[in-house]
Amino acid sequence: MVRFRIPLCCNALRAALIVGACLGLMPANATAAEPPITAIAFAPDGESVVVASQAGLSVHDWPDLNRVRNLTTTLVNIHDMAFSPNGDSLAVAGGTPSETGMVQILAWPDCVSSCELHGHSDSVLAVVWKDSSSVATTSLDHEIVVWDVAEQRSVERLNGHSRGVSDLCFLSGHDVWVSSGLDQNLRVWNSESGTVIRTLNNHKNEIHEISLRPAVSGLPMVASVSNDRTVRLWQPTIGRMVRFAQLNATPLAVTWLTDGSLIAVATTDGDVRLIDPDTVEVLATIPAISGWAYSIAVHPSDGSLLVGGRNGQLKRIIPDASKR
Amino acid sequence: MSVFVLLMAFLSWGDGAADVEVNTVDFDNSVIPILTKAGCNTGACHGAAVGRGGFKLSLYGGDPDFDFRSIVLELEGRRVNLSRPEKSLLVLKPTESIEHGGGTRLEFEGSDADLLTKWIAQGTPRIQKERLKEFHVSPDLHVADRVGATLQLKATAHFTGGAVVDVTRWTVFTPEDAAAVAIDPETAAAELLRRGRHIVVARYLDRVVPIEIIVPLSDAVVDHADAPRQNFIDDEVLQLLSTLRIPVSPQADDLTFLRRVTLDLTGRLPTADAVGQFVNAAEPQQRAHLIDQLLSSAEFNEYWTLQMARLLRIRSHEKDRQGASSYHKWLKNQITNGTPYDEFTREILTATGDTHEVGPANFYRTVGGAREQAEFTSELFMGNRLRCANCHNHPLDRWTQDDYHGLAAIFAKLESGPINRIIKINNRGEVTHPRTGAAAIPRIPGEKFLDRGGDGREAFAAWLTNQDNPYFAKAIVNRLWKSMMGRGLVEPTDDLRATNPATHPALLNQLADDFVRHKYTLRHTLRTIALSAAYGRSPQSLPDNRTDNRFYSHALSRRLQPEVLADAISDIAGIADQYGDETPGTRAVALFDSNIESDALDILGRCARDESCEAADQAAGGLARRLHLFNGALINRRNSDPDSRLAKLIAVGRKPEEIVEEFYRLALSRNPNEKEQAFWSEQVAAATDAEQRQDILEDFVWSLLTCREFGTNH
Repeated sequence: MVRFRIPLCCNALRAALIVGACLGLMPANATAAEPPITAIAFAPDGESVVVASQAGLSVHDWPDLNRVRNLTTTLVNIHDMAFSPNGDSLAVAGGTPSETGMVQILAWPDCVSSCELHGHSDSVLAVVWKDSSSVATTSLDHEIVVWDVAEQRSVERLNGHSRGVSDLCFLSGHDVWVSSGLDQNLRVWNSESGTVIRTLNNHKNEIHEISLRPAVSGLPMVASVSNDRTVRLWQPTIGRMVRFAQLNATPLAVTWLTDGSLIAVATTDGDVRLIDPDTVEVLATIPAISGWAYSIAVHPSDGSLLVGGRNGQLKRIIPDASKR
Repeated sequence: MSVFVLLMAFLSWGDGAADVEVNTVDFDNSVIPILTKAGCNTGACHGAAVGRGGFKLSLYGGDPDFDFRSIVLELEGRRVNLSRPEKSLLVLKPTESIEHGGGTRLEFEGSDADLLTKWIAQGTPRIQKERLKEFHVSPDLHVADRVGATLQLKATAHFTGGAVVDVTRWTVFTPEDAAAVAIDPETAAAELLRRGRHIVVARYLDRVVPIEIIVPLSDAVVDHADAPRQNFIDDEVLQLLSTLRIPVSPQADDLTFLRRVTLDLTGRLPTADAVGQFVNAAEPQQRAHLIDQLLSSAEFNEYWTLQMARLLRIRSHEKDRQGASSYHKWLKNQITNGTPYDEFTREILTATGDTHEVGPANFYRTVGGAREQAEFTSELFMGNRLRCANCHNHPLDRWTQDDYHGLAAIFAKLESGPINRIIKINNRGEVTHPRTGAAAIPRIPGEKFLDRGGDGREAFAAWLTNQDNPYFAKAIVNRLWKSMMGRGLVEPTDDLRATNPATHPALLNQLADDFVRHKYTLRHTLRTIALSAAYGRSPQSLPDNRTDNRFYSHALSRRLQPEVLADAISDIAGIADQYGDETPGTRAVALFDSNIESDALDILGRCARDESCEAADQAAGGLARRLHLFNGALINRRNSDPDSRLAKLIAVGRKPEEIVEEFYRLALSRNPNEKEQAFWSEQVAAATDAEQRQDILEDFVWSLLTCREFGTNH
């Protein structure tokens, strides 16, 4: 039986003003001891969503978020998940802290483990599909590794960050990787040679995540969020920091709405902030969960956001269309 | 008591609330002490400014909020595993179940590791059931009877709910000198390995308290019942000397006293006439009369203006000397008029205006930046080093980052700094608190936050100079004591804190109370110290007090300050030095600008006053000074000058024996003894002509001016 709690977004007046809809759901077994939700991935068809925590992987239906199944994984901690471009595989990344980092590839929708990619000496923090046959991983061991999934072997190692590498994205038209690090830097890499093209060092503290703007005209744009409480926008191919927004809470996770019109940021106060990338104005601050919100994902078709964080909390948010 | 029983007691104190709360592990009061006891949050480990291995904790657990965030929240909570608590990094690393650079810090499956696991299994709750109200150790003072004795230390925590808990097991006991006291970390049993006075610092949560342990320096009881006593100073000093079983040297002879007190109160050597009069006076109160005479002299005003100018770091900035001149002039007026020190301080702290006209406003030109101003102010007027709390809560004191940046926020409301001639209010000024990233809230350290708007200096000055302030009076009387006695009751003098206790805590309190009772009068405290038998003791040590350098069983010998030595050399040689473009004949102690051109003062190691002169005093002198005195022009040029005192004495036909005697009286405030007189007579008699005789007498003067007895106050 599913037990519902009072929606966390109880500030009705505020919610009415800035949020189109705000549905709060707490899994039935969510207690003070529930591990935090650390990764969210929508299935390509948008009918379900996969949620990860130290308790493992679970699949929830959409939009009700009822748990429909638990998945088996060998990872102790999970920090990221990503569906392959063709939608037939789910890469689950994490590891055993301070010992190993790995990626488990599950066939979708069977959720049978098809392979494991081992080769990091500490947890993998991010996994990104370059194409349907290769992924890249970033790890607390300071390395970025590019893998051939079919061959189950690493094909390239990118070294340059002086601390753990927190996230990565691939700019396919430019053949470059952009990585972010706990060393406060973004690095732009030539994906062919594996060499650093440039280092972007405007952040003043650890960078948690980066997110590539969905296809729009002009130069590729990447948003980064950092412990310095800023969201910065970059044009990595020309090494330019375009602008930044200073927040009053620390951003932990970032994504773009599917049309690239807004940036959605999850923060340590459990709120979601919607930011206009052109003006870096915070258009809305939406209460989502209680405590740190580690993960945020945008639904592939209906435009909803799903936020996860402390105590196993999950929250669906429907941004106000007028804010776009 | 078994570890298990202790652990249960540790876990179960509470206010009788629901069982679930009673059984919940208290992060602040239970988890952090384990990490502290295990050494996880020391400066050499995860408590370092940059952490260790990517994991940072607050130094000694001084910031539980930060630690909770670091342990539970950062990196998506990877350090605790809520599904499999025993697999948490927080447990695996310190038990070295997996590789750990810090080695094994907790016993595998031991009670501490079990407690950490239990806390994680409970979902890493952040509750603080009760707050620590008081922390005591026993004994806090112990006098042992012998080397090799053992002592059981015990620590007790009193919580706000009324619980009293034995926290010995979670208390870190750290001896200042590990070669003097050995402490078993498991049992808290101390073994005393050396004679002397030793300090052990006990740390639990955010509290640190000192434990004083004394092992007498000899086995024989020393009775000081008949030792001379003049005032409360002697009662305290002799009491500790009795405890330590250290005998006292006799009182210094009159001429030694005359030289010492004249140098200490006026920065000058006694004149030959003063020496003669003092020897011949033979009245019972002559030392007291001398002290009063010196305290009311113009020379006192000049010299103590220098002493305070060194503390205030008065100096010129760039090419602006007018500010320093105005500051110095104001200061000299305060000293001359005997302005109470609290009044003097309030005027400095609240000053604004044109520094060329408003002397005390130059206080805000001393350092650059609000944080630097907070550090300077706290060290000067509170004798406290707040600077440690810039980056983290002070590990050995009560100061927090809120205190440090809050005090800086008060000074941020000023347009100040060395290049600012006009000191004025700037209400928009602020400093960023590094922990919050927001503007720091103005705060009186350790007391209360102030309104963000407005000038907080009035409130700070009122708090600082309140008669109940625990720092203000102690800071200055400790410095006065050091100036007179050669060593502060607390050293360094800008580091007063519970964990750096005074050698004579009761005496420091009494001096401070006496200072406040006498309306913060510097002269009163200097007089009280000068009158004490402790001040009047001989510098000659006894076999059983030779190694004493801090308990005042004999007078300590001190190097003359560079300005005092430069003036003394000029006085004896009879040739004044030239300082920059000052009026010829200006004395070094009267200079208002420490940056004025002077080879002599550079050679002698003057303090430039761009940093604390108290630290510079420790480093001044040394080999370079000695070599310059021996071989440089400082003495030799003036010795051979035709206008020198020696040349004039020879020219008027004074006999060599008379010349020797006069120089002894001038330089050393005494007559040569028989051996010295005979030696110099023999040297002079060997001269074959007047020129050779003059050479020998020049050598004589040179030897006097370079000897240790001349260059020190003793």
